[in-house]
Parts: sequence; C-alpha cells; structure tokens
Amino acid sequence: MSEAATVVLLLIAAFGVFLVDVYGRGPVSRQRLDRFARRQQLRVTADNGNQVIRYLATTRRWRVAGLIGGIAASQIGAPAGTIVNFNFVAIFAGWFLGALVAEVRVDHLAHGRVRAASLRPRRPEQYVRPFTWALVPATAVIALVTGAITAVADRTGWAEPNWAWAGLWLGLAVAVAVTVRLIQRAVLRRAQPVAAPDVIEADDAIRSRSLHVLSGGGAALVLFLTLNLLASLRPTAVGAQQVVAALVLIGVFAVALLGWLVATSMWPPRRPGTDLANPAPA
Amino acid sequence: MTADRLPGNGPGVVVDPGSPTPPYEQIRAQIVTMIEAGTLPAGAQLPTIRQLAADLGLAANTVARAYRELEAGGWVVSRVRHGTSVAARRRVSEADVRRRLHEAAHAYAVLARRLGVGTDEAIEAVRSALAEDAARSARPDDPVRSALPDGEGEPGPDRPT
Repeated sequence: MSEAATVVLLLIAAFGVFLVDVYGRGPVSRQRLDRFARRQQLRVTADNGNQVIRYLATTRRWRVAGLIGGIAASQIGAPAGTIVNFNFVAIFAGWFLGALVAEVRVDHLAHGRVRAASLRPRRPEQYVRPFTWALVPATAVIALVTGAITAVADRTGWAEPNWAWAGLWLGLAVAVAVTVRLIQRAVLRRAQPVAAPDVIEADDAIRSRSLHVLSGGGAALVLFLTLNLLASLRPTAVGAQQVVAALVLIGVFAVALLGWLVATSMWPPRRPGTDLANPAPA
Repeated sequence: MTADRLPGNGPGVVVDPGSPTPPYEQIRAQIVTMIEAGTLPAGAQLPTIRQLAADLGLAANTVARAYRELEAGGWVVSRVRHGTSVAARRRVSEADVRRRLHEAAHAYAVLARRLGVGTDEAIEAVRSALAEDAARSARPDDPVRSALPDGEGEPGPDRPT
C-alpha cells in the first residue's frame, strides 16, 4: 500500500471512530422510529417505545461500525498504485457483518422472578413471507449450481476458471448462507417471556424486522459472492467474456434491488397460534 | 402455580424458581392440567425445547426432561422435523395410574389427619365418594366423564395402556 493510500486509510479510521461515537451512540430520530412502526404496522406506546428505540440504536451502532470496517477493508485491499479504493462487495459485507453482530447483541425482554412463557410455538411464517424465509437457502443453492457449472465448464474446456478465486467465492457464499440461517434461527428463539400485549407486539415486530434484514442482506451477499464466482469463470469462446461481464453488471443492480426490497418490505407479525384450540398448520 | 391463559399470549406455563417442586415437574404438571382441561387440544403444537427454555430462562435440559416425562406418560408425541404436539389419544400407563392414585391418596390422607378424622371414617368417606361417582358416571350426561380424554375414567380392565 502506498503512503497516500495509508493516509486515506487512517482518515477512514478516524472518520469511522467519529461516526460510530457521535452518530452511532446519538439519539434515534423520530423519523426512524416512525419508519419502523410503519413497516411493521406497530402501535408505539409508552411501554414499548424504549424497547424499539433500544433495538434501533443497537442495530444502527453495529451497522455503522460494520460499514466503516468494510470501507477500511476495501482500502486495505486496494491494488498497488491506487490511492482510494471502493470495493462494493467488501463494503457491503462489512455493513452486513455489523448487522449480524447487532442481531446477536439485541436485548431480549427481561425475565421476572417468577418465569412465565407462552406455549405458542414461534414459526418463521409469523414474521416473514415464505418467499423471504426461503431466500437465503435458495441463494446458497444458486451458488452451488454456479460452482457446478464452473467445474463442468472447466472440464469441457469451455472456460478456464481461476480456481483459487472461484473456490474462495464459493466457500464464502456457502459459509455466509449457513451463518445467516443459524442467526435467523437464534432470532426466532430469542427469549420472549410473558409481558403486556403491546410489549409482546413490539418484540414480535423487532423479530420480524431482524429476519427481514437478515434475509435481504444475507441473500444479497451470497448472490454478490456468486457473481464474483461467475466473474472468475473466464470463458474461452470469443465474446463470451463480454457476455459474462454484462451478466455480472446487471446482476449487481438486480441483487442490490432484491436485497433492499426484501429488507425493507412491510410485514405485520401474525399470531395464528394464540388460540391453540385452533392450532396453526404444522 | 399455573397460567392456563396468559393475557395476549394464549396458553402458557409459569415456573417459580423458589418452589420446592423442580422446574421440570412444574412445567409437566401444568401442561398435563391444560391437556386434561382441553386448553391444549389434541394435535396442538408445543414450542420447541429451546424456545420454551429461552422464554422461561431455564436450561434446555430442564424443558427436555419435562417433555420426556410428558411423552413417557403418553400426553404428547414428538416426531423428527414436526416437533412436539399433544397426543391424539392419551395412553395411560399402569405405572402412571398407580403414581397418580398414590399422590391423590397421600394428599387425602394428609387432609384427613389435619382435620382430625379417624382412619375408618376417612375410608368410609372414600367408599361413599366412589359409590356416588359410579352412580353418576352411569348417567350419559355426566360432565366429569365427558371432560375426560377417551378411555380415561373407564373401569380398570378397559383402560388403554
């Protein structure tokens, strides 16, 4: 890394510390709270308001920290002779890593001295659409199929893939998908002791928003890594490399749009299991 | 302590860590009560062990033991990938019958002693209650009989095991 690039990296680090300290720890804006309430169709009350604000503050702090880390990682990986480097996948991966950490660190409702819990099973379909829940495993399958296509193309001589990079992207894509799924399951299991109905509604809304962000962000990251895998295919046919490059370019925008739409979609949590005399389908 | 219906949360369980009764037994007893009362109907799904353990702030092993006991007693069935649900028809094992009978008899004996009732009088009261119950269960509109799961409350030899 050149001296100029190192200076840029130090500036990013200093700006990052400032941003996390001032913006990340500052008060949550009214607009942010309203946006959360609108997306989840949640009635914010005096009892559940602080609970939502704590969630928003935790996720914002960690996502900002992750974003700064991603920008720094992008700068560290700058090619020789480059002063400022913006690797979109590295920056997005940093943001998403922050989002993952935030979900692990979000507070759950406190237990009282006498422990009480509902016997209502928590199912993914209460918090996200079936499409959203299936998205991360589906993208993992797409990554594996792309890996298989790369291997076949290599065998048949249609392409000369760079296996060092292709293996790395494929391994990362599968690892991200597995990690996201594990954290999604942990979010579903996050403790929900018995509390007032509006507090439970806020807890369900938080769970739903977490699962949306993990599904949208996780699927997008897996697909970005899959596009990297596709970019390392290096087809031998004349003009094929341009076709792959065009596909990757279109894919980047399509994946970013998909991730954003899923992560920000509205979905009020549903509670079909409240009355166990009419149990929800298994 | 029990919480058949928790406000806004549907059927639920309450565990008192200060109680002399072990937490797993508190959970088991409350779920049994809810199944007997019909609050948890046949086929109703129960939460996963990990979910209930997290919600109650208990170790997963504690809830797992309660579920194991419920399964051994025929109250619930557990299937891989389908979770745990209330059994369609409760099968009462002989050991379970003896245990519950002994518990009820013991509680009755303690009550009789506290009331200062003699052994003969206490046994006579039981005989009288059994006779009344037999006469009542012969009637088709018996509310106790209709509230029991299939097979329970029938005379011993016909009881499913």
